[in-house]
Amino acid sequence: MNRLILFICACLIGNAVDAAELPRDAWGKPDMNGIWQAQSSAHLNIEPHPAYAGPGDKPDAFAAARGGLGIVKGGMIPYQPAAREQQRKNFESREQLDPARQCFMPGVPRANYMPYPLQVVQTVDHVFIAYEFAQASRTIYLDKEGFDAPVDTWMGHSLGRWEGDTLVVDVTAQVGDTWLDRAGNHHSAALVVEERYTLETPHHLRYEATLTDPAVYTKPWSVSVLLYKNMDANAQLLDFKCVEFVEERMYGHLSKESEDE
Amino acid sequence: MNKLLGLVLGLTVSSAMAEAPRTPWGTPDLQGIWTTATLTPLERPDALADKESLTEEERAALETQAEARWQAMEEAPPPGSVGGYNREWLDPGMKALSDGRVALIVDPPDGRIPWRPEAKAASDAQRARYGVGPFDTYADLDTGERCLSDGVTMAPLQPYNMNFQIFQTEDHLVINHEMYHEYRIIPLDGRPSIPQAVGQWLGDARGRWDDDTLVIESGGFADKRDYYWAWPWRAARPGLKITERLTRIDETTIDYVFTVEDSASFTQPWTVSAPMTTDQASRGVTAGPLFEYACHEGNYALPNVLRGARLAEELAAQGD
Repeated sequence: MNRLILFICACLIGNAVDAAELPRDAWGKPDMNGIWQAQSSAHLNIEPHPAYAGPGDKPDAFAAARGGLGIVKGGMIPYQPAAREQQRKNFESREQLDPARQCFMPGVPRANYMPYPLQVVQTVDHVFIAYEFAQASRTIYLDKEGFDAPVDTWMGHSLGRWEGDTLVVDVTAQVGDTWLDRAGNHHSAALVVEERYTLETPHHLRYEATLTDPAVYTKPWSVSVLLYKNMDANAQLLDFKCVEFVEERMYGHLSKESEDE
Repeated sequence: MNKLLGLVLGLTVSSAMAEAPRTPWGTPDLQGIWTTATLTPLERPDALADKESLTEEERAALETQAEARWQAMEEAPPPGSVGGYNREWLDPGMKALSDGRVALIVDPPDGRIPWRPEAKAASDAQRARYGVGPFDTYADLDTGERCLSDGVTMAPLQPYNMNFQIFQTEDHLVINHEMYHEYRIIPLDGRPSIPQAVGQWLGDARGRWDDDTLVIESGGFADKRDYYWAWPWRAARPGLKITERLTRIDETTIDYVFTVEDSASFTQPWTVSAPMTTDQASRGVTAGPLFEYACHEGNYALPNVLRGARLAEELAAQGD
């Protein structure tokens, strides 16, 4: 009897609802408007990993990373050998080197599975994604096929299209400075990301991204992670203008020494 | 006088409303890429204290003078100066508003911020500090120089990035500010405000339709008065209330009016009219989509200002 219930529940969770039951916008597209957030530990490390300590000299419980099954399809990122070595070095120095620790915009795909909410605002010709972290955002153009990026940016240049009920976004022209997680997984400025957003139920948004970067990886590879909708009636994004939280770390050494010292 | 202005605007609005685009759910469609950039200043200049409006010739003269001023910045800076932005970076409004107004402030009628005397004195002191120092720590830099914010509203306050993109759904409106990539997500569904304890840099905004005008009321500002704001009227602070009214007049124009209230700073509420256009070229700014303004990521100026100040101290100490 209990097994039967478990079996039924598994079916409900495992299968997307019928396409006809999905909420739709005024143009008939799946309605992804709302506030979403990943529940995984992918922000710590997108590869499978046990829990681990640190960083810092005297790490405490809050600094430790939770374990995670990873979100990389196939398990591990197909790095070129030198690039894997770079990732290891990044990991060792992650407290100093992680660009997001300095409140730099996190880039794509990292922004989508950080432990901060994002809000999707969907119109007929644009999808605007607002990220609470660092007040980063992206405008995904659905009506500008062939519109080249005017310049490389931290959040990239996003051109989208609907393939059936899936929103597909090509992200190009990202700077090479961002990371993919807190474990030093990285890419170069040659990175091209194809994102796929699929509403599995009214409250579950499947996020998949394929990363192609011949300067760093031996072949294209993908991540897949579920985003959950915040169902609180009055949920809204709040300030996380983190520049003011990192200035002492970044510029404190340039301050005038106080007279008392 | 103000009533007359309201009446004139009202007539303009109703006669043109038929041409303004609408959403599938029937409200006016405010979406697009907009600029408020203009040469017309926020406050009425002293020299124009007795002038109601500028003639076409006077506006043309203003524009010629501005062009000459910006061109002068293309020259190499004098010895001892590192110079500043040039036209490659700056993208200022180069056109005075065609209605000939001498200021964006329409109320009070003198076109000046109605400061309380003590608040005016404090503001003047802050203004005088800008670019001068002291620069003991990063906190001595203006909130803009720290890549934090210049405060809310879409008034054309800076000589670049005065572009805004509006996205709209049935229950939300988004204003994406090119400056500091600040976005505002404004619920239109009548939900309550968040607690004052959750004070926000740009305030907590709620929108509602008043006929065909979108009214956005922002309160619940964070208390950031300890930070250095070169233009203190915009400082985020409790007691500040900003009411913005957006009315789409036609394909290329939004009538944008906002009122600033803070009884601790001002003797009365004051109102700015800063028309928005999708025709960026008509204001002399670069046409096209918003760029990502990665200010903090490339903020070399702030640490270099502090390095310069420390070096100056070192040199002064050696000279003693």
